[in-house]
Amino acid sequence: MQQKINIEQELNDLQLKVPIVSMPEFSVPVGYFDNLEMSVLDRIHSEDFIAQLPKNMPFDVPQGYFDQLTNELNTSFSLEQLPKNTPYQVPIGYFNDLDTQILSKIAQTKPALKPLKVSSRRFAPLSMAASILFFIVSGFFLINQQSSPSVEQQLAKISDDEINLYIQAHQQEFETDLVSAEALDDSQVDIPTLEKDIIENQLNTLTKEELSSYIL
Amino acid sequence: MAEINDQDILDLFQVASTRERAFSLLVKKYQERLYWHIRRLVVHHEDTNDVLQNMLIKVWRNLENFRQDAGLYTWLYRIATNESLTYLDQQKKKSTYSISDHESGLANSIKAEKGFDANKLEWKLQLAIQSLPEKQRAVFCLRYYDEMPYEKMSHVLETSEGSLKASYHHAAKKVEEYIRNN
Repeated sequence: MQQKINIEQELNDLQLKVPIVSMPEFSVPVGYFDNLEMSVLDRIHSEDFIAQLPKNMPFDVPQGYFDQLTNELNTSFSLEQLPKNTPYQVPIGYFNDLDTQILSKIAQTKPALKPLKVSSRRFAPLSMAASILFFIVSGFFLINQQSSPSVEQQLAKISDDEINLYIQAHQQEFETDLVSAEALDDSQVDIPTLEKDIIENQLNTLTKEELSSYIL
Repeated sequence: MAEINDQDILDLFQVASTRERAFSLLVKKYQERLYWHIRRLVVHHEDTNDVLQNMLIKVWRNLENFRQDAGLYTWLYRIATNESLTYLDQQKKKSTYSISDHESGLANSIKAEKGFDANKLEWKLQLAIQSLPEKQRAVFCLRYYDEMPYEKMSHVLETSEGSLKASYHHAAKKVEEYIRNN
């Protein structure tokens, strides 16, 4: 209490108008001071124990790893850092006469074929259609020729014996046809007389009744 | 000596008496760029020489009718790229082996090149590029080596700029993966 009065006096002497606030009444856990030294000693022992533990790591590191690490970090990828020179080699003097080489090559080669002009292109569909038509027509004739061979070709396939047998079997018909053909072919035949004979023959075959009914 | 202007080359080519001179100037101006572009795609020098000569003969035959709005540089690259891709396609068809065998054949060609060193990054990069699909390979090379803007590249490959950006992104990722794993 005496100290408090002295402090107030001191402040008054200094002419400072600081309000004097009394300290609040803090409480301390029961028995705190009884065990304080034990708690501190426990902590000291614990820290000593940790301190005694080995600090070296049991893991292995590849040999020379840390030496390379700096290099690797320095050469970390960046497109800008990559070399821009192409490392291939070119034969000495290659570029000296390239233009002359090409010009002589151009002189040796014939001029390229010019493409069809627009006017020619206009007729292209017509000529194409004509070509297609030509192929269709010629194909049609070719197929027909192949499908109907000539009489000579057909006869060539039949043997002589078969032909002789056929003629013998149809001899009478052949003879009649040949006679008729000969008569018709003869230029000296009197056609009106022949017609008269045919009519008379036909009239002779008719009966009297048929004739009278026809006339009536 | 200052590099000749493309327009001057085209003007000289239009006159019959100066046509060959114009062509020589064009070849001298673009031969190395075109050669390396083709070589990165087809690998072998002999194959590159064939493709380059064929494409330059096509240039001679068509330069007279060249539409100047396209830009000579992009037009030449378009012919070179198309010729290279056609050549690779023909090789694939000719090959009695499978496509994967053909691709590993290209990788083997790189390994057989003079001065090949598997530990050097520039060679690893060539192998990584050969592991890409052909069109993606062309996109990567045009962008990475020739530093061609996407707008010009879209004229060369007749593909939209968006597709080319996506294609380059995929290609770069694959190249990164290849180099990391090899």
